[in-house]
Amino acid sequence: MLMSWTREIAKVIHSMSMGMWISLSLSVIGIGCWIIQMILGMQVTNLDNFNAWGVYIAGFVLATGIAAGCLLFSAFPWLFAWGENYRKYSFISALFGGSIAVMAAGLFVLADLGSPERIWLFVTKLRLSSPLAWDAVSLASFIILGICFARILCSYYKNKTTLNRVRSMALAVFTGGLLVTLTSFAFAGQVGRPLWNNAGQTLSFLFAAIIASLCVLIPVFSWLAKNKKIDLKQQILAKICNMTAMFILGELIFVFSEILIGLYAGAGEDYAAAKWLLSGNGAIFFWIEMTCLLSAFLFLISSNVKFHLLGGLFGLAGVFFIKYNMLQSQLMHPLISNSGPFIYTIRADYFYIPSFIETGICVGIVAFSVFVCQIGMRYLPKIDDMEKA
Amino acid sequence: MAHEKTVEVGRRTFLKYLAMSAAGAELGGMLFPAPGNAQQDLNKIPFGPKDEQTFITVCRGGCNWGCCLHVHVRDGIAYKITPAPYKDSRYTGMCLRGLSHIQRTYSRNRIKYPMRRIGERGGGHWERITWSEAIEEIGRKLCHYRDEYGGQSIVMDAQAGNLAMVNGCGTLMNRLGNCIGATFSGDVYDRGSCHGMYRVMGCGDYQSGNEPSALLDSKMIVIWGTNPVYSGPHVWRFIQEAHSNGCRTVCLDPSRSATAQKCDEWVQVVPGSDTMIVLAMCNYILEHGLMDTEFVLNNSNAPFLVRRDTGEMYIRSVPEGRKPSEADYFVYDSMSKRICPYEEASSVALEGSYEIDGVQLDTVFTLLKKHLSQYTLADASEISGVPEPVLRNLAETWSKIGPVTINLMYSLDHYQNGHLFFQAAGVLQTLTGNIGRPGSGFSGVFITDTPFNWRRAAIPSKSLPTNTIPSFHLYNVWRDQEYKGKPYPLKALITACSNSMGNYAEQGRWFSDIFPNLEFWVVLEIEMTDCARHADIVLPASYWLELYDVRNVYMRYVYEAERAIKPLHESKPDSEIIALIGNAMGYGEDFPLDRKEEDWAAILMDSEALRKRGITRESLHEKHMQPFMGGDEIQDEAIVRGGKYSPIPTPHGRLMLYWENPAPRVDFGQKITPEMLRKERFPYFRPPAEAWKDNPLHKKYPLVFIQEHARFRTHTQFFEVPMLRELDPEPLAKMGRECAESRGIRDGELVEVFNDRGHAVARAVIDDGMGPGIISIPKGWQRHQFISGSYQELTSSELEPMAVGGTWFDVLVDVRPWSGDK
Amino acid sequence: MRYALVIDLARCIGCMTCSVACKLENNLPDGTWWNRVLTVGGASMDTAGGRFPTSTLSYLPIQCQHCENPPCVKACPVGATYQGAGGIVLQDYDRCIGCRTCMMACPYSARTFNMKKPAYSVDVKLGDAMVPEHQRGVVEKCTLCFHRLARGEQPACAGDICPARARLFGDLDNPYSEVSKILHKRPFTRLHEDKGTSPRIYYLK
Repeated sequence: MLMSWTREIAKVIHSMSMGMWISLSLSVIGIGCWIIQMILGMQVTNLDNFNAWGVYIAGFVLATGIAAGCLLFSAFPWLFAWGENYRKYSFISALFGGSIAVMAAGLFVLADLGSPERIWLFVTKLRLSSPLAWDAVSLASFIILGICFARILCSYYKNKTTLNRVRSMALAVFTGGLLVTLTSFAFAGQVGRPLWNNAGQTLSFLFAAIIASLCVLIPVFSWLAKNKKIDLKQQILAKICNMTAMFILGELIFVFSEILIGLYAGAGEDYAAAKWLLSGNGAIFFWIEMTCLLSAFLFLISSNVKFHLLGGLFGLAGVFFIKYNMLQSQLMHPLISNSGPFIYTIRADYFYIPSFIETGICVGIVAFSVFVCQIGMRYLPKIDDMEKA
Repeated sequence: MAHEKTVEVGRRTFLKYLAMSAAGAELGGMLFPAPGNAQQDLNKIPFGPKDEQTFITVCRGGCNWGCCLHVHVRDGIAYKITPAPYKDSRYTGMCLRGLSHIQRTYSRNRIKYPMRRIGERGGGHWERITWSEAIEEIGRKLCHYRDEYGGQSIVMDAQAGNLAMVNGCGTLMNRLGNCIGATFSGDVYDRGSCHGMYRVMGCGDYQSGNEPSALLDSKMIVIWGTNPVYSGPHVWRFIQEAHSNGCRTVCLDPSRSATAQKCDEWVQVVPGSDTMIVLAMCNYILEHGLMDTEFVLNNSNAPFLVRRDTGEMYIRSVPEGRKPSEADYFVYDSMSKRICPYEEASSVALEGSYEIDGVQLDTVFTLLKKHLSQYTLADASEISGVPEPVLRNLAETWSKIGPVTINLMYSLDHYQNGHLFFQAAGVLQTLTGNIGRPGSGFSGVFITDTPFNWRRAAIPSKSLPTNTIPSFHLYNVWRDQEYKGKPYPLKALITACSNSMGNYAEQGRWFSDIFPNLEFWVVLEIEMTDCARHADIVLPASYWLELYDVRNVYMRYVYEAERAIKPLHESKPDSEIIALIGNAMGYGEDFPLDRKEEDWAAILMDSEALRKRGITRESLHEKHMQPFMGGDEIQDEAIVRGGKYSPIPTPHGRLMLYWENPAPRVDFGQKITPEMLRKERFPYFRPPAEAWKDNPLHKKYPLVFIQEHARFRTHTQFFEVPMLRELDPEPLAKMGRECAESRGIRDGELVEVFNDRGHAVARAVIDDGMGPGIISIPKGWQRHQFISGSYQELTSSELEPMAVGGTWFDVLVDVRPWSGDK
Repeated sequence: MRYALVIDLARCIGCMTCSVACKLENNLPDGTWWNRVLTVGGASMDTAGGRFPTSTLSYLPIQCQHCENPPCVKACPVGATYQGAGGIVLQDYDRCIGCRTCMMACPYSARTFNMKKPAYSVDVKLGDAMVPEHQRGVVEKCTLCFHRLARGEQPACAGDICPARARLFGDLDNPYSEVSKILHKRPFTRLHEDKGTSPRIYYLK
């Protein structure tokens, strides 16, 4: 057994492509950065008492969204008749969402912890009152649901199980995917954070999850098709792209409303946050977000296939910046924002950009996820073959 | 102000509660967050008795007060400091600076061992030397200067860095200086105020104020040109208490200061115009019959007659050996219609002009009334910018409301006309019957009646003649090596309990005038101040918690400060260092090395004032804090200057509305004309010398530069305490919005404040409370804490010739964005 | 037993003596302040707001509000923050994983996070012996001087330490306590009561 594993690993290393080498080395850099952070503490980040959550949490929220979105995407073709054409993508998206995205989310959280060596307390002392506990539960359920669903699909293709059983499992997976709304409660549930503390946030999280997952799946599918792993009709891809574009539109409406509500007030907390985003210190990231989302929308609705991949990447970046700006706009505008002693004053020129180490860790997590993905692809059976079988 | 000292829960109850919550946690399970680990915490925190000792000490910087404190010591380390309870609990307390003694004591910036300069002065290069090397070198060099150039070539510089008697207050520095026949650097701070008040109240410097609790009897407190909310929280506590008991508070300040914000009324005043307001109010009060006639008649020299030809009081000749008293002054008796000595008059006239034996006589009151008639509210309004109705209302209230206290610090004497303000304020208080009565007079200013036998400690067995030269004039003497027109070589400087270079005005003159002729400078310090950084030899002095000492404060108390911890590093008490230097110079007889701080304290306590109150070393050691003045320890009546406990020390025992024999406070060779002297008999208004809109310089430098006192420092003390620097890390230049915007200055950027004397680079802070035409760099930074220059470069070393006081705010500057290196 | 701290804003002069007392008592690491005095006025500390000459300036001392319904306690995923005796909200450093969710939950920005190994600008250990060691990577905050309460003392920031006598501490369950009496007598406010946190720091107007 051990021998065969070793042999397998050697074989993989031997045959690793350029892309895999790149992602592996970036992962190693990420690990290096994480070790530095472990040794020196969170001081290597640009986080502080005001801006206590930064790029790690944005990454975590994005990854959770991808996981949930993938599960939703994998389940719906089995639940709704109009989605039958998408059934053959279920396996991949269930596997992707249930494993790689969840893993990335977990890594982001781990990187964010001040005392990661106490992570086991999360299991032994978990308090269900905390929205973070709900996150943990939903992530755990994503893994279980994703893997179980992939397994049951295999069985189905091998004619070992019935369509009804797949359907009932799909229902569970779909419900599980909707748990992503729980993630929003880590934000929406905070009475001390008025910009997050609303029901709209929940819906925005769901939309963002769907956009993010589709934006990941679009390149993944194209790549798989290129490698002849799946048979991808342009028509189907275009439909997925259009669907993504529609959700982006939905999310844009949410963002616009937030800004408009703030501006309409003309003064106060919401106004300050909106102004901060539009023309203040947060403007760079806000306008990046806007550019990404709008370009993604345009690329995705375009009939030119070449643009779809670009649309996916822009969409993903757009969702990341939605989360990033959601964090920043609130954290820079706490309920009590009076000036105080020098070190406890949010100064006018103050804003947050991740430090070198933070960026390194994030790149590492993404690269490692890609690497795992790349390895996974090798062992992925041909879906069409499975279907035919 | 009474409130509970401890909470109504004992340790036992607390533990019981804690245990209950812990049990609840186990039952509650994981769904409900509960103190699941309270039990755990309980084990972590030891409740048992600890090895700790408490020592009593007293704060002794120059903040005007001195709080009695408890120092908690664990394993020889002072780890905490708390207010020591006074029997009169209103005095119990401290401020953030007092709390920071602990960090200052253990600061990494302490001077740890004797150091000798290598390289150029102020270059920052030092070599460590031993104590014996240091003392030997100091002794040798000082003896050389003494023998070569005379004792006066050595300047003794001891100021208000430590207001305890043994190690501070210049006690032993004076002793040494007297042995040597040295030159003393005479302080020039606060003297304008003291001198101005002396002209009316006749008290020595620093003696015109009341005990803070006297404020509680006031019906109106006028906070004039001071910001006790920042700089004097201890006195503010009493003002606040009086205010909550219904006392009216009025603040006069060019800026809407933190204090102004807390007062019932704020009156915005043009800087330096305050005297005009007082004089006009005095005039208004006289014109409208609002004066307290009975008080003025019985408690001031108003009815006394003055010779028109000489300006002197008309007084009956007294036999040799008897000083004239109230009884000997001539007055006009309106009953018998004749001029007679006061004691013979049955109905004394307040007003009138008379002639006797061809001598024209006027009562003081008549002269005063005539003098004041030139000051109208309309003129005052124009000059001070205060609307006339506001002034009228203030004058009316002042004379009708009841006891009025003026709360002052020394800021108003920071202009060249400052002493006149204090003189005028004394006149105003006299006219309204507001001196010597409960709740009247002056607060905020120093109130030191020292009961110690300072002379015994400061005068050695053989005292040589010495000179005291006002410190700002010393600049000239250093430069010219000449005093009062005669050669006067100055060579060496010994500095203890003083950061003169950081506090004296016009710092640039240290570089241009002093350093070229300064051959040897010894500084006794705890941290690297401006002085220490430019010295030749720096000696590590022990900090307050490491010293035994005695001090008096709040007019009422004497304290004993215990030695809480051993001197840190290689530091030694100032008293010991001075004794070592004395020995090295051959004055061993006057500085026996086995005489410890306790023994010096015994010498200081050999005083009549203390014996009278039954205060001995033993009793003070037992009680640590004893009242030497006033009633019992539990207060019955607050001590008021001019009241029961502290009479007015003028020849006639009355307040002086007329200053008979004007003379400058100190004669340092300044030009004084008889004309100048005549003018000073009554307070009059003259604008500040520099900081005034009519000064041609005002066009070039349109801003008045003040150095407000911050919460975080007392003068330059506490400049490097780490936790205070976390709160207030760097020099700021505070200015109004208009001042900043008209110069294109943005909030938070670096700016250069400058005039012809120098510049200082600081961070701009836009403060909408700052008055127009004012810029402030809060006081207390050292040169090295500025990116460039120093705020003390900007100030002027011009001395007012009469009061001989420094005028730090009589300064014009401008400000511009700084483009130099950060 | 319901502990409460009453802060008289009419009296508070923003001197930060309470902040420094807290810092010393609890031997807070460099850069950490559990108790901070904020300026209600301009954009920088101690500056007035509005326009001269009608500008205004007052102060707001902030620390853990020891809410009766503390959002931070609910937010903590591992129970490291909890309500102890007398309703004090406490933090168990040994259990905190450093996720900072409590900081997100706190409406008062009262919590601080130790980014690095606690550093001290003096080389001796200051503060009360009963204060637990500060740790890296955990969240901490005002404990209302838990260790002092256990000895029957008041918190280090309350009582005579306040030069303006603006801070009173006591038990709300005792109707005769100074705090109960003054809260009956004077109008007060609590910070962001609309958030349902029911804080135990009362601000007298």
